[in-house]
Amino acid sequence: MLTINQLHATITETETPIIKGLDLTLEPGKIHAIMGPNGSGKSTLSKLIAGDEQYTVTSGDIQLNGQSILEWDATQRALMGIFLAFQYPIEIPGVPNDEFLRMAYNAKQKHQGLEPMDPLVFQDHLQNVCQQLSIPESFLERELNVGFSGGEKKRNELLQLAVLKPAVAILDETDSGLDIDALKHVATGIRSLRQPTNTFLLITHYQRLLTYVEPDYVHIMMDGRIVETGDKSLAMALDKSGYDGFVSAR
Amino acid sequence: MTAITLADQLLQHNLTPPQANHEDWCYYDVSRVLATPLTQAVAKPHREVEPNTLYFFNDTCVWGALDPAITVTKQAAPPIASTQNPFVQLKKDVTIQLECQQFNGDITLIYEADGYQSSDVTLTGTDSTVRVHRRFINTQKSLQNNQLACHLTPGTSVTIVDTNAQNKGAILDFMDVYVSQNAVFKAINTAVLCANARFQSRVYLNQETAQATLHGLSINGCGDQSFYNTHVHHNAPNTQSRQLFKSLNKNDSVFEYNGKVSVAPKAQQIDSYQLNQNIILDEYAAVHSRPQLFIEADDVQCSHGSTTGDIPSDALFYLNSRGLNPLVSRSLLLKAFIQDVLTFAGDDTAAIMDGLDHII
Ligand SMILES: Nc1ncnc2c1ncn2[C@@H]1O[C@H](COP(=O)(O)OP(=O)(O)O)[C@@H](O)[C@H]1O
Ligand SMILES: [Mg+2]
Repeated sequence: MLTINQLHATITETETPIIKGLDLTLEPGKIHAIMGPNGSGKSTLSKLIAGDEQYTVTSGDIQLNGQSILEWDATQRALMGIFLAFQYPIEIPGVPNDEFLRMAYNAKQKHQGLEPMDPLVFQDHLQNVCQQLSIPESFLERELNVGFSGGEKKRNELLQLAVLKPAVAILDETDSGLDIDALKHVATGIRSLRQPTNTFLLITHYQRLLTYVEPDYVHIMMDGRIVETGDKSLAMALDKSGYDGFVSAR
Repeated sequence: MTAITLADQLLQHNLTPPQANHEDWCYYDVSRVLATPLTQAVAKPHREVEPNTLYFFNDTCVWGALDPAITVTKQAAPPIASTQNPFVQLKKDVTIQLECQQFNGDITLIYEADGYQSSDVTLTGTDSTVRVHRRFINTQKSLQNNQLACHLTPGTSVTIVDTNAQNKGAILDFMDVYVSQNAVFKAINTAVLCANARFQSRVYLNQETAQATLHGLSINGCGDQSFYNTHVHHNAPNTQSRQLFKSLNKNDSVFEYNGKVSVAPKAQQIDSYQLNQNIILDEYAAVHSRPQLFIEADDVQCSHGSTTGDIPSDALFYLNSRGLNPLVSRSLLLKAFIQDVLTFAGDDTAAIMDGLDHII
């Protein structure tokens, strides 16, 4: 579904290489997990896929269903079905959450040649999604992420994901900063959003999330590359040995 | 009729214009205003004036029916006074005393110029809660030169809401505010796509627990220039001041915030806050931000700050990554940026949104 081929990328401003020959294939209907130490380039990779111009691809390719996405800007990529749940979501005062969701939803409708959804129908739809994800409806009236706790912001990202129903969903450390109940809600949410036609990429430090959402594949990322791919047992092994242990065992 | 300029008049009365190197005027194009022709257009037929409204047009002032709690007296214009506030004393066409006694309500001042318009208004509020809406309207090659003095007796509250959008002439506005015990002064000014607007406010917090809030929002596009020049004097203990000024700037526009706060030696335990934030949308707009503090008391809480920059790229990326196109995303972020000031600018939201769409 999403294929990354020998990707090399730098920080645009300083030309510092961060992604150094990365290969990764995300399959439809599957849940992929990327684990890796701090600074290995996980967030960079996720933003590169989403089209952040802070980073520049110097060689290699990213393809969505066989089509290179490198020439598309972030908006186009989103409209084509790529979604990133941010590690650090941005606060936007003055923009109500529900209005923002409606704008984003209708932008996608328009892109697909469909009519915008009636505001009242959309409001009902939002309430249903909130219930499905055990998110309080009060989230909807609040200004986008303003004054949200770290955990609330992460859950709000999941709400956006559920409303926009992307083909490729990348979650960058959505599990960190969540208490155990919130983590379970997020995990249940991810499981319920899983479809044969979409793919999930969960970026995480810890094995914790993966006990609630069983990944089909676990990829280990180090220094800008995927160095190992396996199943969930890889995550468990890593949890025991730590990244240092993992490095010395190789 | 020969067109005489402001420069001619100053010369005639042996007055000197503000010097370009004066700290309060250094970014203002004094010479441009001096060259403004002062011919006046044919007097406009008086229009129906709404209740509690004073309408200033060129050298006249008329007003509508007044609430019994409001008194307006018009005085013959005195000749030349001092040059303490530049220009305004040059030609006081209309001098108005506006007194509010136990008045709770709204007053509107409409300043309209098709040529030269000046006024000198003194507002005295006693046991009142007054909201004064000032609307500035002018045409190209006109000059508006207004002074408003506000005296707030103890416990009185005065809010000034200025609207000023798409004006192609020049506005030189001077406001002097004297706030006594438990009195609350608030002002919100907007300057949206205005060719030349300079708003000066001097606020004197003269008795304990006097409060003042000054807000400004300026949107500047092609050729626009706007200047805020504020000076808040904390002259008594336990006084409070808040200043928040924001601007959006593009093209060859000029914006200045020159805001001073002075704290007198005896003004202990005052609380003062001053913030100016500006967004520059391209590399051509000029922004001069100068918050300044002069503190002579030791037990005070004063903060001041200033930021000037582009729309934050991480926020832009966040919105784009939700499928919103760059134009929509920028517009949302600019609205978000001005949100806190906007909540005070009740009269003017439509004009502000137009201005914002214009410069994106
Ligand atoms: N915009 C940036 N400016 C400077 N350094 C950056 C920037 N983005 C990423 N980096 C650096 O790139 C490396 C990878 O960062 P990141 O992708 O956030 O790692 P991870 O998410 O795996 O912890 C880190 O050393 C980080 O400091
Ligand atoms: Mg990260």
